[in-house]
Amino acid sequence: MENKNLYDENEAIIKGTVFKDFYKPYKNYTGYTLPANNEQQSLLNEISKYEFMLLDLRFALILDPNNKEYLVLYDKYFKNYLLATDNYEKKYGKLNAYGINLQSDEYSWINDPWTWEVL
Amino acid sequence: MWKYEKKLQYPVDVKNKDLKIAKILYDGLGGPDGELGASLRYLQQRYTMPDNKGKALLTDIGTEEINHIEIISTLIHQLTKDATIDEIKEADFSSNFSKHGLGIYPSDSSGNPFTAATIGITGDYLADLVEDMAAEQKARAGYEHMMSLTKDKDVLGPLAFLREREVVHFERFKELYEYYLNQKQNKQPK
Repeated sequence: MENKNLYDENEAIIKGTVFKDFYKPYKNYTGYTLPANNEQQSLLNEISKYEFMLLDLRFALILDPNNKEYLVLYDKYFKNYLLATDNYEKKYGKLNAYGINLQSDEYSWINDPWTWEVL
Repeated sequence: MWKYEKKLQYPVDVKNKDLKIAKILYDGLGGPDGELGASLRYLQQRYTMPDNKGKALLTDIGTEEINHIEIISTLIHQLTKDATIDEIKEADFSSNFSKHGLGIYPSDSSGNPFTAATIGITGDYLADLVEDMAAEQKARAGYEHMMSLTKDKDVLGPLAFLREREVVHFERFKELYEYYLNQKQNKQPK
């Protein structure tokens, strides 16, 4: 990433913010990793990483809507988010109730796992 | 309207049962500074924000807090799933179990039902934003207390994430508050 004040998508979600100035960890409670026991969890994590970039950048853009640098970054991460979502849904079914995968003969929205179940 | 996605904002994968810490986490769900109150506070305050920045920020932060309700509830579920009667008795979880089984009732850690009495909505955007800044600080402190009560990394990872989000929300509310305050002062007749 060009901007030295921002974390990239791999670091931001772990830190809990995109913005280095806002990262204020509690004591030495740091260095956690995302669970990735299998491919499904890993692909889901990819979506979460980009979605988190969008969320935290969105707060910045709300308060500074003409920030060209953040707008360009937001667009870049949105495209990555769409790609990651497509990658996941092709293999493991829809994350929302709207889409239908016509290649399979079932309505994949109701399939496991639900969010509170371990992958 | 809201749309649902079958995905947590931050993944949760707890391997070990721990009813004692599960009970403590109820403060983050339905306690005075919990996520349920946070989401309702912001989503119900947004109608009287004076401009689009305020409307957007409260909508988006309020929506993020709904994600946090789901993360905390998932932690509690995974920490209590398949608990035996002996484990429930040993962890002093019996009073919760007798009323709610292993369901996740919105309460604080002492079992007091969630109440809107702990959230402030004044219809005054400056007063509301100061309330929000205080709420984020109280929630941050609460997560620090919770974190000091467990050594389980599967629980600490999500808690550290939730705690940092309180820090970020505080900073954003502060930025908006100062923006409004400056605007107001510049409009005052000299």
